Amino acid sequence: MKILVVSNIYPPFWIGGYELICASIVAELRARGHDVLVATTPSHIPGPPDPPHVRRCLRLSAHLPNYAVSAGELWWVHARDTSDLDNVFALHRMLGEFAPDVVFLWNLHGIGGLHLIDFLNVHRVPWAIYLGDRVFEQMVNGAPAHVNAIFRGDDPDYFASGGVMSVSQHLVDEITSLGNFSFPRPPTIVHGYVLTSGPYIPRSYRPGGRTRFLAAGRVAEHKGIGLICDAVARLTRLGVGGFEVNIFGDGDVAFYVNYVNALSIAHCVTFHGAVPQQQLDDQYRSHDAFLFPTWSREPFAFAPFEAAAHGCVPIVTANCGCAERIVDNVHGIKIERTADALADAMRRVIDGTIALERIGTATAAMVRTDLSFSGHVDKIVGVLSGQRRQWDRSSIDDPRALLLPFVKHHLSLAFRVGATS
Amino acid sequence: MVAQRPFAAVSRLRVAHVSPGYFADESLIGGGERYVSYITRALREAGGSLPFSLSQAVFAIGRKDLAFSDGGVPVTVFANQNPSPDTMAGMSGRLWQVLGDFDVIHVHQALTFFGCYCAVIARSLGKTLIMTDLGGGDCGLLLEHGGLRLADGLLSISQFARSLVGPYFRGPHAAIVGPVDTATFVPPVAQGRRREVLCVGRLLPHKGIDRVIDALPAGLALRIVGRPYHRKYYSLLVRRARGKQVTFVLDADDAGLLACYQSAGLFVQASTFTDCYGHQVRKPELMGLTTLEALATGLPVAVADTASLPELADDPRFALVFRDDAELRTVLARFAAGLWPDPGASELARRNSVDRYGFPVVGRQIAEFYAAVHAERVGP
Repeated sequence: MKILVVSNIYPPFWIGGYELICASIVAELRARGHDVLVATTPSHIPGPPDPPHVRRCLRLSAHLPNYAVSAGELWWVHARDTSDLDNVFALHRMLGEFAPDVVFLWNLHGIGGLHLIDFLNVHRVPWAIYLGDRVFEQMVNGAPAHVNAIFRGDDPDYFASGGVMSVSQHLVDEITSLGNFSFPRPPTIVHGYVLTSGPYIPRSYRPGGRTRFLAAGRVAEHKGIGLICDAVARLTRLGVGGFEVNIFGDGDVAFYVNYVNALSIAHCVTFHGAVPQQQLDDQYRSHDAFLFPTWSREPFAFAPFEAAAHGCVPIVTANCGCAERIVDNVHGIKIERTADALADAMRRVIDGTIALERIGTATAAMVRTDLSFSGHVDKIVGVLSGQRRQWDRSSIDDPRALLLPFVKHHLSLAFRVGATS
Repeated sequence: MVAQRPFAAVSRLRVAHVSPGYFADESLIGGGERYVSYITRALREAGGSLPFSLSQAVFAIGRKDLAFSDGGVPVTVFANQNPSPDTMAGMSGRLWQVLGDFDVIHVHQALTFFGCYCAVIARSLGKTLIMTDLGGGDCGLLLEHGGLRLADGLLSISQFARSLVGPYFRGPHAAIVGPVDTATFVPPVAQGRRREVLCVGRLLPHKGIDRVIDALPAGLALRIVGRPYHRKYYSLLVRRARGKQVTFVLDADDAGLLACYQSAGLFVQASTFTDCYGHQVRKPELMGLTTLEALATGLPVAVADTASLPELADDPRFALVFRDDAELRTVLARFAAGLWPDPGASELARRNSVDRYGFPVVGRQIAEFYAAVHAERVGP
């Protein structure tokens, strides 16, 4: 298949897992012989030259410094989720050049996603979207209803033409619960995947009676790094010892180093910064449990399952997206998102109450069978193939093909600011 | 002039008229809204003589949802979803659903944000898009920025109206004057017209009613029918009318208006590009509907050489054009003296109106224009 991928960000610039997954999927689709072209935005992060299949032709209006917001906040917000004319024009160009069988959408936040989808619908171009975040909710709530109506964004049925995949039912429920958007048909839940190198090797736990906890990913409050620190502080106050917590990843590291010092727990909590995936895999094998007291709106983080593949038992927030794949006390430990609950779970790991070996073996087996990368891509290809159909390329060549988005874009701005005719 | 194009392949046309308002007290009372009502009736009356079937519906924007029938044509009003106070920026997302069922979308009050909104719907849905400027707005997005080219055809309501939008559009463009309701606006049963001048229209400065009052000779009566939309201007008219035989009728209903047409001896429309306050008016009269109504009742007319009005007065036996206030005074003096019009002018005016501006005639012209544009867009 010829597959056009549209994503707001693409490595070497990345924010979190969403962009990295996109790159992994693209690599795998190409490895399977599909002809893939990626449309994305420029990266300000230095890296190797882009391969020919990556075109940085879109413009980004989010995830960037916004010092000039006060000069035109409304325009900035508009371009973020509703309409960015440059990006519609770029999409038009790529549809003409590449003539994809299907357009594969990823995160559209910051590139005027609503207008992009409208453009595809107007020209009846088949599309699918991989939801790793609440993209639809951001689009429909990004502007007042009368502005969205210009792109038919107030009509959920208008999105029925797309094949929607979501990394979790939790994410689908969250988008629905936030209002103004309901899925016209149930999305395909693809969950995550784990890349594993080699078979599962039976391992030991808590060698020498010392427990090793680990956290990996974005070092940020919403990921629960503060809760981990607070839980450790509670345990040390109670006199619990014989454990350590190693935290890998970038983010607000300096803040949390100071926080750890303030709590006087630096002796058992260490920040290591970001490390290559291979090194992280080694760390998973030598740690007993993966701490992930993330916020409840976590759609589906991959790191806990990467750890689980090596028998590192995940301790996760009970109502986050990841929890859908975990049976409590079978594949991991589910907790309330509080420092007390986390401290209690950690204490039970430390004192041996939790059967780490039983759970670690079960969760590794589950991940390696249910969350294989190959199976994940099979699901994606299934949805893309289902969307594939003939579409009239001449529609793109219509001399008025760019006039319509031009008028829509500027009319939407006029509506947004309350201009008069 | 209607563009002549083959439309033999067209067997059925489903036409949706979309308008930012509708003709009712709670919405808008103006020529634009009455025009929409008129052409739906004209199309219906012409239906039997067309080589294709034509069905139609009207969709408008209002304060609340509403549905009614206008002469057998369904009218659906959607509550405005735009918080803007600008009535010409009204819109409803529900138009997306309902317009999908039609072949031709005719957007009235085209040069407004409403018109712009409906145009993008029609174009997005792949419908044949006809647009008509009825005077409400000068949307730059559609004019200088080219948005008008989203349309497949333009229908202008006069050559004057055509001249204003023609430079912005390259496709099929017809100028069709009318229609007027010649079944309602009929001559009086008994001939008994008074030697009285009649002005009808919204009491707005660009209507030039002050010019008529000023030119009115002693002893000649003037009746002014219309709603006082402009308080300052109305006060000016009242002041200038002191000492003259001037009567204001501010609340005439349809029957009252018809009675005025039937009893007067001369209709005057003195609209101007520059009003009494020195303000320039770009589009004072795109069609002059009240002049057409007067003619339909057999009432001779005198109109200013302004905008579209001369197009309606091309036979001096029952219709004169005055170029300035001096000529207006002359026309009124000749009328007061019984020197013009000649006996028989009423009958000529009536016949001219029916033959050129009646519902069946204009309805057929418009329907054929729709079909021609539609056929050109969709191909054989």
